[in-house]
Parts: sequence; C-alpha cells; structure tokens
Amino acid sequence: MEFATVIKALQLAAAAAQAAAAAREIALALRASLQQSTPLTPEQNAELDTLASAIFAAPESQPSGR
Amino acid sequence: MKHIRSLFIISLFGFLLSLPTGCSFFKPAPIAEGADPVVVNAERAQRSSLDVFRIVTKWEFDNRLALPPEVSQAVDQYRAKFPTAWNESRLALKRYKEVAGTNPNTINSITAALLAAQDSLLKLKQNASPNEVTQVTNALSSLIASLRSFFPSNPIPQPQP
Repeated sequence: MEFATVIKALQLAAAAAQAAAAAREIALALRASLQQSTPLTPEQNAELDTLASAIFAAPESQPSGR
Repeated sequence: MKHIRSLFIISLFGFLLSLPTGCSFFKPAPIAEGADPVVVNAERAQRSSLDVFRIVTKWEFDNRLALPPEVSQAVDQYRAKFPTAWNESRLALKRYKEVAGTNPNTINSITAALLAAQDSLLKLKQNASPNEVTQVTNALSSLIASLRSFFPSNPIPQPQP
C-alpha cells in the first residue's frame, strides 16, 4: 500500500473519531438547552444574538468552495 | 475508501443519540409556572440548533482535507441555509413577544432552522448507499423525535427517505 494511501486512511479515521466526539458534544449541548425552564432575559437574548453573529462570521461558517 | 467514508458518515450521525444512551437523557425540564411555553421552547430550539451548526461546521472545517467533497458540499448547503433560517426564527419570536399571541407561523419559522439541517443532510443520499441513507435519516429522525415534546400541537415534519 502506498504511503499516501496510508496517510489518507489515517486522516479519515481521525475524522471519524472527531465525528464521534462532535456527536457527543451535540448531545450534551442539546441536553443543556432542554434544561431551560424560563424565558431568557433581555441580556441573555442579546448575548445569544451576539454569539450567533460571531459564529456566522467565523471561518468555519464560510463555504468550503469544494 | 467507500467503507471508510461510510464509517465517518455513520459515526457523525449514528452516535448522535447513542452517547449517552437512554431517552431520559433528553427529557426536557418542565416549563416554569407562568412562563410562556412558546417562548421557552423556541429559545431552547434556537440555542440547540446554533450549537449543532457550530459543532458540525467546525468538524467539517477541521477535517476538510480528509473528507470527500460531497460531505463538504452537504455542509455548505447547511451553511447557506441555516443562518437565514435562524435569524428569521429570532425575528419571529420577537414579533410573537410584541403581539403576545400564538401564531402558528412563529413555530414554523423556528423549526425551519432544524429542517435546514435536514435538507442538507438528505443531500448526502445522492452519493450514499441505501444503508448510509437509512442510518443518517434514522439518526436525524431520532433527533427530531426527541424535540417533539417542544411542539405538542404542531408535530415536526419527519424527514422523508
């Protein structure tokens, strides 16, 4: 097996492992959101909107171009 | 190569609700007495969907060089649709608070954020095997079913196979 093929396989395996970690992080985030029992305060809503703006502007949120 | 591709696609969504296990893990806290359930449920969905967007896009970004193009393209569809849907849901919630009434369109706007993710994920089936489609859609169905309690009188549409 060529060295490049081995490297590619290892990279995909790493991506799979990170996918499992991401799935767990999603589950924990979902569970945390479900613990909210009262409406967010105006300050918390403002923080949520600010957070969203930062996330949408981040490099990770831009098109891959692939 | 296709086997490895199947592995990470299944890992991403197949583990979504398997760790930790049990339906009780996702049992929502009761709405506080006197609180508006429409507002609380909407904000829950907005917070969780934003987290999902951040985590999924970061995962694709960090592993882009190793991933097949179709995965990046599917996540790009998610990147294209979600911010607009999320912002519209926030606007709908603000309008709801202003008029202090229950508007079915408000709930439809809020679920649009989750459905945007569903649409992009279902595009994977164009290049995926039937087993992969089944596992991805089953995982997504489980996620949406776990949020069913948010909208008891407005069932969330299930993803179509």
